[in-house]
Amino acid sequence: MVVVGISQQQGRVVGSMQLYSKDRGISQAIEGHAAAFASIRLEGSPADTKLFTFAVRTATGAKLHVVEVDHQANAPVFPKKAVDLYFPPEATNDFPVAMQVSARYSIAYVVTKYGFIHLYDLETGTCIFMNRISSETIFITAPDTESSGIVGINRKGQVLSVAVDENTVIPYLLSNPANAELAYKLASRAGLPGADNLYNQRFEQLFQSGQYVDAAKIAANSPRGFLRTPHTIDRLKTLPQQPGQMSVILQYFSVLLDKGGLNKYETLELTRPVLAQNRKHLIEKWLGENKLECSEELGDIVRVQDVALALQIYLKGNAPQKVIACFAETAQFEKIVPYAQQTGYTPDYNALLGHVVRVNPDRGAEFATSLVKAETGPLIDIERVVDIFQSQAMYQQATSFLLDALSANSPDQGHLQTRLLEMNLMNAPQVADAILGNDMFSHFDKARIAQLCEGAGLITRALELTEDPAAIKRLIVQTDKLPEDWLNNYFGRLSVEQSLECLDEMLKVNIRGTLQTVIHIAQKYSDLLGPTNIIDLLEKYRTAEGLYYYLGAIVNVSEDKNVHFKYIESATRMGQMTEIQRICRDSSKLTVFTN
Amino acid sequence: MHWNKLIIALKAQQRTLQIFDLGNKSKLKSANMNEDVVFWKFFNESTLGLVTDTSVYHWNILDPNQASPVKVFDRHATLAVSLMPKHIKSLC
Repeated sequence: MVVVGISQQQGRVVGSMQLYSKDRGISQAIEGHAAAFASIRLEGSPADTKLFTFAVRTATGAKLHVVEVDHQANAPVFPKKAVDLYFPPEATNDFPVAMQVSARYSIAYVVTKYGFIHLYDLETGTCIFMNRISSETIFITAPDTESSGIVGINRKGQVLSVAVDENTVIPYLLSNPANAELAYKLASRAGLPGADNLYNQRFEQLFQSGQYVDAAKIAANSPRGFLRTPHTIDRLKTLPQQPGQMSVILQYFSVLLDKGGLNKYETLELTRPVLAQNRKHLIEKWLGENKLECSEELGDIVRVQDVALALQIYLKGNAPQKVIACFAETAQFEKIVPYAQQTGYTPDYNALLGHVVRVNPDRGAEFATSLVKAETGPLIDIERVVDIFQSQAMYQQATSFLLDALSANSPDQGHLQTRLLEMNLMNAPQVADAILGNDMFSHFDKARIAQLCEGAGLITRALELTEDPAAIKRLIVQTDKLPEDWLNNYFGRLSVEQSLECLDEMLKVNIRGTLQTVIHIAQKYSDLLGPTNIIDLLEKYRTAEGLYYYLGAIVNVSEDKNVHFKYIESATRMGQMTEIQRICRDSSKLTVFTN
Repeated sequence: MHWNKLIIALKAQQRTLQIFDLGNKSKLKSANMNEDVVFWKFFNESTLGLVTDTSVYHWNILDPNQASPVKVFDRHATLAVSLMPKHIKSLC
């Protein structure tokens, strides 16, 4: 760093500076009025060169000095510059008061006490321009990043701004043949128009005369890279390689890499041969240094060799579709949704899930769940997810996905509940049975599922679900498949009429097989169904056995004369003499017997 | 004034320094110097350069570990007491 001060000595203003190197901890006192630091990139150098420049008017003369500080080992040495600083003869007491450097142009602006401004090219020390901009002293200045110029305030309070006119500076410099080389370099450095013809001419000239490497350098340094075209690359590519030398095209790219980065097209042209030579590490290195322009095309080239590296390129090159495809390919499914949300890109989740499911079925279900449960709302239709699983016959995955997705048992997902049960009834009835047994869902199509349960042999489930009298009758007779306890409970849900119809049906279809069950049910629901109805039913099928056992269970507590009578009657038919004796003795209802 | 943040550095009696963030109305730092500060200036986005009669200090106002200015070097004899410093610049 530098501290500058001025003092009055022997009738003139002397500038004193203290230059201090923080790294080395050394101070140096130099006579000078204004100073600045700068950083420039010399042609062909891979590193920046740091410069210290200062302006001084001594008792004997005035100079602008440019010296290198902190020399970098891999950069060329910058020879010291010291050029005369012009002061008009009448301005004997004038001296430099301020100095600012434009990083873009590497031009130093020097302002003097009397309001003169001088512009110097730092690299060559050439004076580009000078003029008087203020009759008042400019007491403070600052660099203006926007215009790459300088702003200052004078004692009148005027704010002055001076900057290089980028459209005219090159033609202006070229008008003086001595400055042609400077114009040429400045155009390249700051990307200015006005020297393009010159670059083109030199390039062609060198190319024609076979100085290909020099021609390549011209193209690489051309202002705004206007010669860095696919056409140039094609021309350089076709040149024969000199024995023992790098090919011209690779030398061209290496100049560009030193200078900065490659554009998209150059990156592709460089990457192809490098990968073909199996030197992927170079691509990784350059990517790390941000020297390659990442594009979808570059990713495509790299992907063949390294998906992870391609993913990195797609991410940088903003190719979301490919990024997501790579995530999917490398099984980083959990990154897909956050990435898509972050970039605002909406992938075709249906196609994506289809892909994931094919390569990794288990993660597929997980991925599907993450899509449905995304914070911003479902990203995929549940129905489509099920379609995808079903198309791959992945019923188990579809089931676990749906169980999760439908856990809220919401009425508007009724059709999906139906679908889940349907799917399992057709492929894994025991699973459907378990789901129904858990009572998780209540909004599915009961009639349809009952039908499928019947088809799958889940008779109890079918009965529980169906409301269709014909179906109930058809099912209820299969008493061998219906647990007794369950059936007893089931009748509790039926109406009196339905119950009697069912019992009737059971006896009609298979009296031998169902009689015992019918008796038990009749006993249990005797009060509800009415003994008379039951007696009528059993008599219809002429089953004394049925009557006897049914009535035996209720006779002791019944007040109904008819029950007592029918019991004795059926006992008689069954030859149960002891029972007749007992009932005749104990029953208080028998006094009315007349026949 | 800071170059591009709403930060202002104030000096009282040439020795009492205070840094304020006007954006969130808070005081970032304050320090008392043993000597008068004759010149000071931001020379990058985080650091103030301070010149006293005898020394040059740096003060990184955004670094919470730097409570007060850190002395960098002594002023050279030629830049002696009577001299009025005008500029301070740094390469980095």
